[in-house]
Amino acid sequence: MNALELNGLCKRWPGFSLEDVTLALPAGCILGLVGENGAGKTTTIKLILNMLRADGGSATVLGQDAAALDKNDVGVVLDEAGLPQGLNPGQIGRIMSGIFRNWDAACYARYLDRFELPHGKPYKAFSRGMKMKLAIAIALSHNARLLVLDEPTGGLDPVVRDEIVELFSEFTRDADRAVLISSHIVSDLEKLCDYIAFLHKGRLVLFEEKDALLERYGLLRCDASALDAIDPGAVVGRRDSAYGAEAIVRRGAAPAGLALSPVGLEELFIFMTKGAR
Amino acid sequence: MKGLLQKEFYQLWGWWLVSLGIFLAVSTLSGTSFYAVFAILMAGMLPGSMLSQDEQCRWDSYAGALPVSRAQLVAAKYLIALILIGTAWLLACVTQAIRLGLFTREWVLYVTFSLGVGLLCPSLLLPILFKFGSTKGRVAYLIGLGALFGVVAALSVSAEDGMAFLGYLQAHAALFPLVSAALFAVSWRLSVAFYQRREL
Repeated sequence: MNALELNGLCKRWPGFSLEDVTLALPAGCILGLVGENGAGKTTTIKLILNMLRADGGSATVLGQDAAALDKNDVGVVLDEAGLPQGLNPGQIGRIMSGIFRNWDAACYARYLDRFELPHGKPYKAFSRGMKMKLAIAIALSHNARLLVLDEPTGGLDPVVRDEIVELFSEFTRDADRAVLISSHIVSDLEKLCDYIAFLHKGRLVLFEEKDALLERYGLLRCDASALDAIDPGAVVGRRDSAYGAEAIVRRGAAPAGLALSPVGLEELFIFMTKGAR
Repeated sequence: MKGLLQKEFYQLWGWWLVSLGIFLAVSTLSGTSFYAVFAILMAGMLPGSMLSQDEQCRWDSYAGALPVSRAQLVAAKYLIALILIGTAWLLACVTQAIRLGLFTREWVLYVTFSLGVGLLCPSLLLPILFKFGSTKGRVAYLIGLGALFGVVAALSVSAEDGMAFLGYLQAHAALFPLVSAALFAVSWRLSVAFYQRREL
């Protein structure tokens, strides 16, 4: 079963449109949504959560149409955590117990302790990292089956980020659960994700299993004239400098015998974005 | 719904009770009803201020991702308005009874007028805020209020007319809270309709 299915999802505003986003996230898996600022990641997430009305296509979440989704089953972390400034984590926990049907107060208290968040300190006095940790604690404390996370690791230091990434990974050990995560920190997604969706200027440039994606492309370092001799259709993106050229190349379309290095997700993302420009 | 109301209470209940206590004490000690009416008026304006705060901290977006309907989000603001206005009004009725005497003409006028005024404020303000958001909504509200006062001023051609209108209001004071209550109900329905269409 797919935890999430998007079919031809569209949203249009003057000056920006998200067009024809089609992807599926199987249960038990993690999908990373990658894209530059303004690529449409947050718009996609808001359409999934029925916070925006789609202009076309459909979103099915946990087998339900997004418009009729039971959000008790979805844990959400938004880019701006969005919690009331003057309240403390203890009060926020009591509010959430009146909102979520399956709220687990003991689990929430454990996460507060694990993240070293003071129960009585007002939210407005928290750092951005602490605010995100609190939002993550809420998302993980009501037995959600799907986590929808918009830049959840932004503002966290590398050690905490690593811990959080591990938490999300643990979450999907139960095969009924899934995670959709958008992030600029591509290294986190590379560690965590089973699938990658790459958005660029409102278009879904690719959606693929991460391992297959990384196997399909290779990094070529050579001089510019050697790169010019390769079929342009095989080159996804290139970077020229005084010392030579670098390019991401489709392994299947590249001439045999080329020495291609393994490519990382971050390099792929940067080259593709620049190539698309 | 319980969680949404709890949030409103946590954010303003303590502060509100202290303010209310001060206004009612000043009203009783100074021998004027103004501060007591003002406390009720303020109670009616607080849900609008809470909406602005929600937008500032992005609670409005976050709440859109929680298992609560748009109608419940609107209901929380109207219910908290009723609770705040009701508390202020009941306490003001008691303090004004001490000052004016129970069931005197002045007391009955006060009781009906203050309830009507209290309910009128959120009835006018909240649909505009739910439709346009707090920043544009406040501007639209002020323009609307200015236009209303302009019309009233244009119609009041003389001081006699003004006094006659005041006399008319006094004679029909009992109707004022009923009209306000009806407006409150219409306003609630409108706000739900506006907020259902709003993109978060």
